[in-house]
Amino acid sequence: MQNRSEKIALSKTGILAMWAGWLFGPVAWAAHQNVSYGLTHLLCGAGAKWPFYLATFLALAVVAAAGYVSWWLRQATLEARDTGNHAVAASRGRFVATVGVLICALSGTGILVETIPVLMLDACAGAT
Amino acid sequence: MSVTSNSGQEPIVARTPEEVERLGATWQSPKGFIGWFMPVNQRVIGRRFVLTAFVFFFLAGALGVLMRIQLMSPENDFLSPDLYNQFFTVHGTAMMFLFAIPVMEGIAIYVVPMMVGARDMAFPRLNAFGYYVYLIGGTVFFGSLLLGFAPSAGWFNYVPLAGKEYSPGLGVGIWTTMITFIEVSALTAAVEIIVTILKLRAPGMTLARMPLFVWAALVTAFMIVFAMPAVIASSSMLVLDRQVGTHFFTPETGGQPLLWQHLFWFFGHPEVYIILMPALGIISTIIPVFTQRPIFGYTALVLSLVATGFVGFGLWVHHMFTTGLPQLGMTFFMAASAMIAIPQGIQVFCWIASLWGGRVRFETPLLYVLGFFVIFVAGGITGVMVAVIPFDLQVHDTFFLVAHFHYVLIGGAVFPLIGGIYYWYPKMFGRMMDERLGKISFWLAFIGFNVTFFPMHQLGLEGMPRRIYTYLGELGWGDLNLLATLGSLVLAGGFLLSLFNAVWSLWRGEPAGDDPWGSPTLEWATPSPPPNYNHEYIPIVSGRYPLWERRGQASQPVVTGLRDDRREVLVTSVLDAEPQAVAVMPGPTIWPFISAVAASTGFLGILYHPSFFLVGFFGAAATFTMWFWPRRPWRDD
Repeated sequence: MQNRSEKIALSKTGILAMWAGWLFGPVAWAAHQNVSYGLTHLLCGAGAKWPFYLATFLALAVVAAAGYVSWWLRQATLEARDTGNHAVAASRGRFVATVGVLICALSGTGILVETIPVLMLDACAGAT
Repeated sequence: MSVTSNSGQEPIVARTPEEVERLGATWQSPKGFIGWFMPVNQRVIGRRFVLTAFVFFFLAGALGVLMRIQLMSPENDFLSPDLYNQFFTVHGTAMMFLFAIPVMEGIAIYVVPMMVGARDMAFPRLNAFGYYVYLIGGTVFFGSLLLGFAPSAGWFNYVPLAGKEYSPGLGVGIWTTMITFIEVSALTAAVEIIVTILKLRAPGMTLARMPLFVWAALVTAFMIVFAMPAVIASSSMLVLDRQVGTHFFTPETGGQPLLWQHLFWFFGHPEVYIILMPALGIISTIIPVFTQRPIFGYTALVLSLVATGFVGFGLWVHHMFTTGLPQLGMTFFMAASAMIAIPQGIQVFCWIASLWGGRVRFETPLLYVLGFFVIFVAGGITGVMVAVIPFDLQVHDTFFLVAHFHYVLIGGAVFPLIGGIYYWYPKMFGRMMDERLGKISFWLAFIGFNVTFFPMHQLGLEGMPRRIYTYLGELGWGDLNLLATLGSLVLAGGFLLSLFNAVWSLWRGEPAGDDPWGSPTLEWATPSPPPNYNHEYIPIVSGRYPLWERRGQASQPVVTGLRDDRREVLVTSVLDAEPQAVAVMPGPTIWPFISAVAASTGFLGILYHPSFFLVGFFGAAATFTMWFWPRRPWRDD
């Protein structure tokens, strides 16, 4: 007898959600990097840095949400591991979800590290 | 579907000798001169990719040695400045485009289907097309050197130097068109590899059970799909600038030279990971075999491969730190460049943990992997150094950079690759390579490499620029350059000894047997060399190390029911590799070769007159039509 979370983890939606961490973590990091890169040019002379911080906040929010979904599914598949019919799918699902959590952690680290220079440097520094 | 699984408990109804013979004949490649242009089997194409890539490797390596001879003493006149420029351009381009990518793809094409329990790649004819495109493109590119009009603007071909004003003649045109052409080959192989891995795995080989080399090949193929279009776009734009008169990169008419650098390096930096990634997969394949225990941290290793694949796309600006970009903008890329050390570090620690306390067999494949550790970590550290903008501003375009990228490319890719060749050679040819020669070749290569490239760090810090054909004696760079040149001869000797070993072992090597190393992956379940169809019965997988798990078992579960008289493969689901269908593969045909010739005519003709594009386009369209024309033997009846 499957419980609710196990059912979700093994449903079509759950299988798609399993990839959330793989997809949204790196995409949020890449978007943050390139948006920040573009903002550097736009904000030179504007004297405001809040758009950088907004980009960081939004990117971290996406990473956190994707990481949480992956984590939740990882825990849900733990319960399905030992049930005969779904053992293989659960084991594979747990693997995908675990890697998703770790990718989100790495992406979040990247976003935070890339925000450090914003605290230190003016957007006009070195611009030619 | 008549395909069924056999649990391994009940005996398989074995094929009669006639049925086995028919199966072999069905997957047979044609013989004879015309037959040479017709095979589509992955092992034939994969072997050709590898052998052709090594031909280019030794040619480009010879150019490297000639450059070192020119630099061994101050004010040497062994090579003229123009010839030296051609040599470093062709050396770099050939090593990157004609050797590194094709050889890694070739190994993947050869090994991956056997590793995942398939009988062929997903699109065999596309595979063949990709090889001929590569062969023609590479031959023309090297031919330009022999005919004296090779490109001389560097492997990165920066504008405006590569523009018509500063590089008149055919050279840069050859570079742009042939590189674009060769990228087409890389893209075809990438598409092949992705579909093969996702849809042709043996039943039971879920994503969590795929061998790490297969994971590496998958990530590499995705990187190729996303990276190559950037360089195809940029080189096409440069062709248009040079041949048609557009102004993408010409600043006096509103173009932007930096656009070339952005586009090129958006491909160029992932490129180095495209080369590195399969090598990481090779290492993760070799270490468990020579310790005879499972790899430590499978999940972490997959994470590292995937993370490297993503982060590798966010570093390209670190090649442009001296171009006058805003400091804050550059620091984002500095952060990402330093951060890529995290997944790489995770991998290295996982490998060390796998070796730690194990009963390690120090045979040649593992020696090359251990050599990788030393060299790649050193190159990685200098990589973090040059990721730091202030340091990069000091050493940019000096020999420090030459040292760094040779440490990561030769240490990170070539050493594991040679280890992989020693490892899979018995499977390819049915004979072992000589162990004593292998060990000698390793030490020659390892010592020669470090003697060649370590002094270059010092030369760079002393200010010796890259891409200079000579230097003044009073600058004091002569001694270290002489040392580097002597080292390059030793390094070349090491690689040539491996080449001799490979050729000599074809006839004199010990017979290998099916599984000489005691490996866990499925390619070793086949005879050596494997039959045309790879696996007589498609195996059913229940773990990450199928051959180890079946030790001691009289029989193992397999899929039965694939026909002998047609090229049938089993199609499985993406996630869990559950059987879905049987696909009939196309057989040998000459049309991929003719299509490649037609496309080549277009690509090369553009250099003569832009209208040749139409010749190539319609020629390729006609030959593709013949290629896809339905033929009775491959219809499903």
